[in-house]
Amino acid sequence: MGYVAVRGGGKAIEESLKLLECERVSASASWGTDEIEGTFPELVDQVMGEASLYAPRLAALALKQAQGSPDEAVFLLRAFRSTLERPYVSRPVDTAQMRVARRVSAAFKDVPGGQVLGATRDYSHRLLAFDLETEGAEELAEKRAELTAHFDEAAQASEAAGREGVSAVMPRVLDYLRAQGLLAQVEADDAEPVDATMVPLSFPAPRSVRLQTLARGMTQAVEALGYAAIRGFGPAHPTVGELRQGRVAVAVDHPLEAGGPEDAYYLGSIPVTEVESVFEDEGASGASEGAGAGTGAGSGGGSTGGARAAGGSVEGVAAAAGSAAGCSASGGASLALTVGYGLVFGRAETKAIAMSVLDHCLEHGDARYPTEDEEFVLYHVDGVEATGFISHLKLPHYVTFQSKLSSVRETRGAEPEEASHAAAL
Amino acid sequence: MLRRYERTRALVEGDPALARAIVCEIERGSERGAICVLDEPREELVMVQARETAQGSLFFLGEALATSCRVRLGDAVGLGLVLGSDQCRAYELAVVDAAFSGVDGTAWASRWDSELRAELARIEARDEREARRIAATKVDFSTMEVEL
Repeated sequence: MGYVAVRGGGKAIEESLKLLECERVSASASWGTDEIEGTFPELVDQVMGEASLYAPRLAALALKQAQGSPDEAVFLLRAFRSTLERPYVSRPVDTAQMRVARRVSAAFKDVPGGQVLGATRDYSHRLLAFDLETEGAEELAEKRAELTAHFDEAAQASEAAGREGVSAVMPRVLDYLRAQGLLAQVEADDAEPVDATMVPLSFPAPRSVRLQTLARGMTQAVEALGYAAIRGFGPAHPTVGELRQGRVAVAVDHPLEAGGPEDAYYLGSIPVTEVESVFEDEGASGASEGAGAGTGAGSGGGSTGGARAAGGSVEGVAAAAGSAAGCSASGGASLALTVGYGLVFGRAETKAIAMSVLDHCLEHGDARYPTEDEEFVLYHVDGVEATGFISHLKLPHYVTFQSKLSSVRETRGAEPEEASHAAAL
Repeated sequence: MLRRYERTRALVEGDPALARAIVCEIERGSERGAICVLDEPREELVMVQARETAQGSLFFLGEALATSCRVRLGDAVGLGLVLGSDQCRAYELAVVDAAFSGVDGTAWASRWDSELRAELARIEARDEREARRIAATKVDFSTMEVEL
């Protein structure tokens, strides 16, 4: 059976687009991109992350055009991105030098630099703030002045009391576990990464493709699969060793001259969220052996973060390190801690944690668990792929449906004969 | 004297008036038409590369929108690169890069060194103010006393 070309619908499509625009201009306020960026910064971050393009103004514009649909905004940004040249690759961003706006660890209570909550709604009551319904420019300015004064006073009082401030650049929490030999030391691997936007996905996928695909994955899809892995569809229960959010510098080397970091061009900084999750693994001897080191003994979830039991402080672990360094369980099985990694644009903490879980899962690659199956995870987390494929179902499938109908009719037509045949027997 | 990274950091993060002032002086000190724009400011992409900390490998985090410009000044070619869509800033950065890389580069660098360092100090002070605000959210743990 071949395809049958049909004509028609052109006028209807034109009118449909006009009606869509009519609805937009009739219902929306005349918000510019500044208002959208300022009012929905996390939505803008989400769109940039999934579009894999850091461009806040354009993300806000895409959201306006898409009337708030993140899927559509991501599609628009990805399409726009394909029209631009990409002559530059940055130097590797150094997340150790991140200007930290928030940093927490679930593994230790006392971490060097402290638990810094930054701006978070993690501990807020989820009650609708009805006063925002009528909040005008004047109230906004009043609140801004009041809160700015509050923080300025707090900073002055802290300075006057001689209390230590927060260092913008913080040491990594997990470096202390590495120093104690509880986590494998990591050597820089300068192998050229593969760009997932330039080559089709193939399996087994290089680690660089996995991480890039997860970082640009649909936020809720990455979160859902990460959640499934923790719940039991994958033997992974993470302890968030460190979650840090802040800005990292982007620099590019001179295109022709050889030079070090001092001779690179500074282009600006971008906000990112980074997560290092710690997992307890059987039979692995360190993070560097993560690849292909399937446990083969997954119980469907239930391993707990080893660091949690070690005490509330980095020092506590240091004291216990002597006895724990061998990581020998009473049953004789060798235990080790490994790290799952997550890094995403903007403030997308849940996605970054889920990415770190899926990174760990994909390193295992145990085919019994869907969340450890590269094809299952990587093919299905991309938003444009998923919405594109599902949306195509709305397009005419007249011929294929006729074929289905014929099959059903034939079966129905055959049924009485078959039934009478069976009765005769 | 400041190398290119610190110089561009001062000009990108700092007060736009500084880059403008340097460019004005370069333009005044050059013959008419000496600054030749090789590539008009245009939007391009920069692929942001990151190093993950689990195995130390590199991967591409995603792209960032940037504006670039290329100019020639004498024998030197200058490149201006800045995140976002600021075409003026890209042109100014390119002119500064060309002047500071050319035969008179050392003289230009020395002439503006103190201003650039002062701008970096202002950026540092701004970041510190931000860090002090964040410091208020640092958790001060205390242990509950248990009454027996």
